Amino acid sequence: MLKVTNLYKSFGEQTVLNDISFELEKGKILCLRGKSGAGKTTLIRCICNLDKADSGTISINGIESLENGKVNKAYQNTVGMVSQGLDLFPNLTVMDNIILAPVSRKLMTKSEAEKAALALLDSLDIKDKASSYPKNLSGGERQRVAVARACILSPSVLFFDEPTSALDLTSTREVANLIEDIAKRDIAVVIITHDEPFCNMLNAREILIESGKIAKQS
Amino acid sequence: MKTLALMPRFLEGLQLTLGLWAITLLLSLPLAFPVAFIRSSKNKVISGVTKFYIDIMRGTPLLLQMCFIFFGLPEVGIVFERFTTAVLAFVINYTAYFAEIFRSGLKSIDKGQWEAGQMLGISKIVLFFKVILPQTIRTVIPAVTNEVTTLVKDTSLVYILGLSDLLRQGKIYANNLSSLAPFVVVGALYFIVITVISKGCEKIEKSFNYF
Repeated sequence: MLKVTNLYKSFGEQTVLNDISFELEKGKILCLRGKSGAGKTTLIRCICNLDKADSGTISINGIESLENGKVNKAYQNTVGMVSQGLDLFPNLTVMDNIILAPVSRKLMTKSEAEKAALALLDSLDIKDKASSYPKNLSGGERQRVAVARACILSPSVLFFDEPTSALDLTSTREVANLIEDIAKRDIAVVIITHDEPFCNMLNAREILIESGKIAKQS
Repeated sequence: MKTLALMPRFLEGLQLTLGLWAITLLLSLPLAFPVAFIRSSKNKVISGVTKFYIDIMRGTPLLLQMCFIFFGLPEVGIVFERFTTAVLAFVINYTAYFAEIFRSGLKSIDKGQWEAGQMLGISKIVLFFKVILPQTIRTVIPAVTNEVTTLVKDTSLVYILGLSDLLRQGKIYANNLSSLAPFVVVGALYFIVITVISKGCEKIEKSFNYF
């Protein structure tokens, strides 16, 4: 499944990722913990091809992230991300946010995509929000839309960047349940967080990153 | 009364003013987007050339640019009609201003929007037209409204080319009648036109309030 081998990344003189290696099987959850600036976000940005590692390899199901130094499209189709800011498209309805990628990439017809989107929204308990705009949704609802938008492309690995920042305990539990449900669909889930109680709610492996190095893993 | 009888003359002038205004907008608004993109290019030569063009347009008077095209270019054998000169000068000048407004609008869009598109595998063109452009337009409408209304008033500079726009008509008849009344009528017409345009822009701005 996801395999990261000897990953290095520096910004100028500063080494941000120092020989990171780990693996993750499908349907499993991995919490990447560490203080701010430890290198967690850089690590998943490299895995998602939003930043380029200096050296090392990343592959999912044997498909490498780069092909001749360029982003490998076949690899890119296997990763999904729910970023910290969620980055929903504010000018599109919930439905259009979800179907823009599969329809514009001709992976589905519009009606197929709408059907799949409604099924996803239904499973996330926000079917009634399909025609709403992101500004009219609560934080939790927005997060679910971001999950649906990523899941419609059936990724093998889904990344969450600080999904519980600024959430109360009840909402944090809801996010934990949501992530457990996603993992049950055979999707590997990687979560960046500094929230230890949240990690403990999940049946997850943990990797602690300190100064760009894996300090501890379970 | 004499002044009001001259209304058809003023309306002829207004027709030229509005014609130049409309053609300038129709050409410079679409042209400004590619210029804004090229100006933001990572290629320093390309962005440098665009910056130089924008600096020249912003750093010299529009009147001088018009004179250069109409009186200067014939020296090297390039001759344009009066109205074509006006259109050319206004389009080149206003494209530079709009390009800078669009560039600031594009820069104001969170890079997370581009990254979200990249993660979803959406092509840059689709993402631009469906997501980035509507957000950019909403951001730049107030600044564009300013330029659009300024453009109405700037068209009066075409007097230098001998074109009879609204203000020139007013000036001619103010001299003929030895009266300030034609200027009052011309001022009122400018005011009405600009008020209507501003209201239109406000409506467009409100139509983007859904997100």
